[in-house]
Amino acid sequence: MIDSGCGGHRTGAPGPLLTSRTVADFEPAAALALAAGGDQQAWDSIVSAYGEMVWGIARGYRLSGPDAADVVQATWLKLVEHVGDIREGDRLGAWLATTTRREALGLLRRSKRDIPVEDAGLTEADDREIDGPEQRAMRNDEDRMLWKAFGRLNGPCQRLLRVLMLDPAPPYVEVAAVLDMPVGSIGPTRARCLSTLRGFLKDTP
Amino acid sequence: MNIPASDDELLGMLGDLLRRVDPMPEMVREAATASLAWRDPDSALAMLISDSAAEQADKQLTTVRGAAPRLLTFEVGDRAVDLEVTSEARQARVVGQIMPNATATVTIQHGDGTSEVEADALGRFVVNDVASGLVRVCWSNDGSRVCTEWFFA
Repeated sequence: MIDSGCGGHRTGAPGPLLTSRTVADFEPAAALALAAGGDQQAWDSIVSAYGEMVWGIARGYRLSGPDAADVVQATWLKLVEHVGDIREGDRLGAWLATTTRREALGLLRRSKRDIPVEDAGLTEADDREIDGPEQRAMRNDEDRMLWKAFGRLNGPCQRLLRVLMLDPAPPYVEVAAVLDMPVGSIGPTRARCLSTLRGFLKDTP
Repeated sequence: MNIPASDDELLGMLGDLLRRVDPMPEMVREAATASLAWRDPDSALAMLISDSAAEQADKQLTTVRGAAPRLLTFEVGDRAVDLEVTSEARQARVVGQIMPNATATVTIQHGDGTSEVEADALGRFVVNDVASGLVRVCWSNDGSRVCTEWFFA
């Protein structure tokens, strides 16, 4: 993934979980071929390159931590099953995203939540739980307000912003493939989602 | 609060927050990394072709978890397995039948490890203590190995 220059705003050093990314010399097709032969290092490079994206998309379906962890694990196991079948490296991001989406929707459907699948993520739930270490990572009220406002965004907005905020920011063509959206609608949707977020921040007491 | 004027800055602020408060948990990363060990290149992958839970959800029927067993069918070529999964709190009971019907050693891989069971002459088997979560069923006959896709039991 390379930075498209479209909204790839950087805010200081990435967290410790991101430091192992080796994006510069990461070649998805080569990594897939090696991983298909059992090469652990190549597999690890795939997990490093796409792990945060897969996690972000699962969380963007407003799944709890344990549910998101299940969805993410199912996604990686499916990639192991199909690791030898994906020949085009540039399709890997979209393949992972589609699989994550399918697993997330499958989980929502099986758990028979009272919300229709299409609306998953549209309900306001500003009491979204954050467990131990994450709670400690909140620095101040500003963090808490932003987190709360983000939690009020609908699912599609949460997923789009989760993907756009990745570091490095994926190019719009990849964002489009990953979220199954037309490339042309990413800019306007981004603006609309951020404007809604602004509104939520303004009316937070 | 001080809301940044530009969208780029607001997105940057959000990214900074989410990376701090909701990163991929280390346990999730470790599980992802360890997944490659489940690679089984010598087995054929039997795909899920029917799932009563999905069908019921589509019809918007309400069922209580654990009330009725879930029926799943996986298939690859002329080999298939029917599974009846009864989920309880932390465990599932799996009753299965492999096709073509034949004795075989069936392994069920799940969160607590691997359970092994012999299918009878009609290809039937039962496993009672499958850990709830991601599960797959593998078996061999005539020297060829089959594994189902991973599914949630």
